[in-house]
Amino acid sequence: MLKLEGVSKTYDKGKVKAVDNINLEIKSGEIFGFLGPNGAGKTTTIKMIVGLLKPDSGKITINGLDIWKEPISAKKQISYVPDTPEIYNKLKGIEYLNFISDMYDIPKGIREERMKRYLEIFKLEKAVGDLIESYSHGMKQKLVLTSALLHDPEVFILDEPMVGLDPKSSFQLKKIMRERCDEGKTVFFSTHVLEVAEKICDRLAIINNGKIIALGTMEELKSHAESSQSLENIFLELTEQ
Amino acid sequence: MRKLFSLIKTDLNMTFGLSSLSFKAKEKQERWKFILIVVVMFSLIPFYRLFVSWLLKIYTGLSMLNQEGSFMLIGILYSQLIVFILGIVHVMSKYYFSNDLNILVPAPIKSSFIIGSKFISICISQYISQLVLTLPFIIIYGIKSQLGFLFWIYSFIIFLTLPIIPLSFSSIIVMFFMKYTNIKGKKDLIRGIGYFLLIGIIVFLQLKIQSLGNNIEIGGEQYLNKLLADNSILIKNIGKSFPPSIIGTFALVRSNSFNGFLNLILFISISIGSFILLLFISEKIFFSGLIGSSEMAFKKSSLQEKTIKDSFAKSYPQYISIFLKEIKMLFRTPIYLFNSIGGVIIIPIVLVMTTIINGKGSFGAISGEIEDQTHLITLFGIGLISLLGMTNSVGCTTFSREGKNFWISRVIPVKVEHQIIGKILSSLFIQLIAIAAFIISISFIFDLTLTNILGIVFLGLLGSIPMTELGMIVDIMRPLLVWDNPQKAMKENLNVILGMVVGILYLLVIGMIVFYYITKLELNIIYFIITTIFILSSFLLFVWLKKLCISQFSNIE
Repeated sequence: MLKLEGVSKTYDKGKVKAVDNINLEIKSGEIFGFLGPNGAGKTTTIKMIVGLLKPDSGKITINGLDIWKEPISAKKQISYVPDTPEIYNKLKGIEYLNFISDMYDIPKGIREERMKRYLEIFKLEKAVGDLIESYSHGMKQKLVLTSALLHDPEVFILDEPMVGLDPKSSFQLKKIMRERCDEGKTVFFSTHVLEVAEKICDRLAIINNGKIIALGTMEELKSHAESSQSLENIFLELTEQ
Repeated sequence: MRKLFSLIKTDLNMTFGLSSLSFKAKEKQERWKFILIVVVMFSLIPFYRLFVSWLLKIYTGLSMLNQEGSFMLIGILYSQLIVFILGIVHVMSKYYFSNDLNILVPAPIKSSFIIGSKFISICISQYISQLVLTLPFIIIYGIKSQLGFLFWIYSFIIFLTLPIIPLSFSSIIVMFFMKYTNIKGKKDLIRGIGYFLLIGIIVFLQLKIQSLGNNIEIGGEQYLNKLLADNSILIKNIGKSFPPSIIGTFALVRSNSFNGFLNLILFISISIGSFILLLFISEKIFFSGLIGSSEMAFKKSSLQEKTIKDSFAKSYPQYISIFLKEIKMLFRTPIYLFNSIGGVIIIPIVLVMTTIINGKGSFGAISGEIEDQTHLITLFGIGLISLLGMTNSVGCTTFSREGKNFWISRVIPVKVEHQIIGKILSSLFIQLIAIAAFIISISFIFDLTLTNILGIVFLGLLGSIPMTELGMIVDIMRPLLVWDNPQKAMKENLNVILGMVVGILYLLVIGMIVFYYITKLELNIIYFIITTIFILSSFLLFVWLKKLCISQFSNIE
C-alpha cells in the first residue's frame, strides 16, 4: 500500500541528515503510528510521502505508484492533514470543501453525502457558512480533516492530528481511523501522544536522528525492549540511547 | 517627543527595511538582489531621458505663449494630485492594515503620535518619487527661466512641503471613511465598494471643478490675446483642481518679488495647518475606525437546508474552481483588492484626468491630432491594457500570495497546466475591469468606434496573457511564501518590480516593431503581427512556466 525504500533527505547542503535511509512498508487495513522526539525527522518523512519534499535518494510508492513519477495518480490515492491547519482564510468553510472536492473530482451526490456526514461528526455544520478566518485553531483542524476525508483516500496521512482537537473530536477521529482500516484502507500518522499510539496503532515505528530505531507491533516492541513495560518507557529507553 | 522620534525611526526602519538591508548586504546570497535593483534602475534611464526631453518641449511651447509659469504649476499640481489620489491607497493600508498596529494600539501611545509617525514615514517615501517626477520640473524651470538664488531656496522648501497638504487631505478622508464603514458584519465588502466609490467621487469632483468657469473659448483669438497679456491665466485655470498648487507655483514663479515670499509663507502655513488638523482629527476618530478592523463576524448561523443544497450543487472543472478561489481571495483581502483592482482603475482615470486638464489648457492640439487617426487610440489602448496586465500584480504575486497555504497547490492531484490556466483567468478577470475603466474614461475625450473598442478588448486581453505569464514566471522563480501580513505578498514584494521591468521590456520590443512598421504596412497587417506575437509568446511562455512550476513545486522546501 505505502512503501518507502531507502529514503534519505539532507538539509543545509548535506550537512544535516534529516532522514537517513528509511525503509517502511505499510499494508492495507493497517493503522501505522510514527513516533519520535522533536526534530527526529517525522514531518520531513511525511512531507516526502505526500510530495512536498523531494527525497535525495530512495523511492516512495503508493499502491505501486511512484509519487514523483506519477504524481497526479499517486496523489489521488492519498490525503494529507498537516500539523498546522494553514488553509485559505478568506474562503468560507463550505467554499473550501467544494474547492477541494473539485480538485479531487468528487461527483456532486457523493460530496454532498460525505460533507454532511463529516460536518456532523465534527460539529461544523453551524460554522461552515462562515469565513475560515473566524474559526478557532481546532475548528480549522476539523475542517482540514473533513476536506481530507471527502475523496475517501486509500492512504490517510496525518501529521500530529490530535493537536488542537477537543477530546470529543479526538475520539471521533480515532473512530474514523479505525473504521477506515476495517474497510481495508491505510492510516499513517505521526504523534507525540504515546497513549493514542499505544491504543490504536496496529504497528509503530520510532524514528530518532532520521533513522528508524524500532519497528513492529506493540508486542514486538515490548519483547525487544529491556524494560518491557509501557510505550512511554520503551520510547524513552530507545530515544535516549 | 522622544516617543514620536522613536516611532518615526522604527516605522522608517520597517518601511524601508534598513536593519534587514544592512544585514542582508553582508550575506553573499542576498547581494545579487542589490545588484538586480541597480540593474533595474539603469534599465529605466532611457525612459527617463524621454520624459525629460518631453518636458523640455512642453516648456518651450508654453514659454512661446508667455505661460511658462504654468509649466511649474503642472509639476506641482501633478505631484500633489498623485500624492493625493495614490495617498488614499497608501494611507489606508499603512494606518489601518499594517502589522505593527497590534503592538502600537495596546501600548500607551496617543493616536496622534501613531498617525504622525506613519504620516512622516509616508511623506519620506513620497520624496523619493517626487525626486523622480517633480525635480525635473524645478530644474528645467529654474535653468530655463534663469532665476536667482532665492528660487532654488524656495523650491527646496516647496519640495519638502509639497506632499503634506495632499497627504493630510487623503489621511483625513480615509479616517472618516474608516470610521463610518466600521460596521459589524460585511465590513470588508462595505469598505471594498466604498473605496471605489470614494475614488470615483474624488475624480468626479476634480473634473467638475475643472469644468467650472472655463468660459473662454480655447484656441480663439480672444483666448490667445488673454494668454499673452496675463502670464498667470493658465496657472489659475489649471490649478483650480487643487488650489494650494497655485499658491506653491506663485511662490516659485514670483520668487524674485515680495509676492513670491508671501505665497511661500502662505503655502507653508497651509501645509502646517493641514497637518495639525490631521493630528487633531486623528485624536478624535482614528481608534473608532480601527478597533475591530480585524475582528471577524462569526455568525454560527447554520446553513439552511436549501443553501446547503445550493452550495453542494456547485461543481466546476478544476481550472474554473481555481480561478474562482483566486478571485474570491483577491476580492476579500482588502490589500489585494486595492492594489490589483484599485491600480487598474486608477491608472486609466488619472491618465484621462491628465489629458483633460492638459486638453483644456495647452495640449488641445494633441487630442485633435489623434482624433484623425483613431487607430492610434486602439494601439495605445492595447499597450496600456497589456501593461496593466503586469501592474495589476495578480500574475507576479500569484504564488507569493498563497504564502503558508502553498502546500495545498502542491498536494492536490491537479495538473500544473490547470493551475496555471486558473491563475491566468483570474488576472484576465481583473483585466476586464481595467478595460472597462479605460474605455469609459477615454470615451470622455475621444469618440470611440466599435472597431476601437473591439481592438482594445480582444488584443488587450490577449496581450495580458503573456504579461501575466511573465509575472508568474518571475514569481515562481522566487516566491515570497513566508509572510504574516498580506501587504508583504503584494505591495512589498520585489517580484512586482521585477515583473514590471520584464513586462516593460517585452512591450517595448513590440512597441518598436509597431513603430517601425506603422508607416510602412497596412494597419490590419500590424494588428495581425501583434496578434501573432501575443499568441506565440503566450504559448512559449506557458510551456516555460509549466516546466518551471513542475520543478519548483517539487523543489521548494
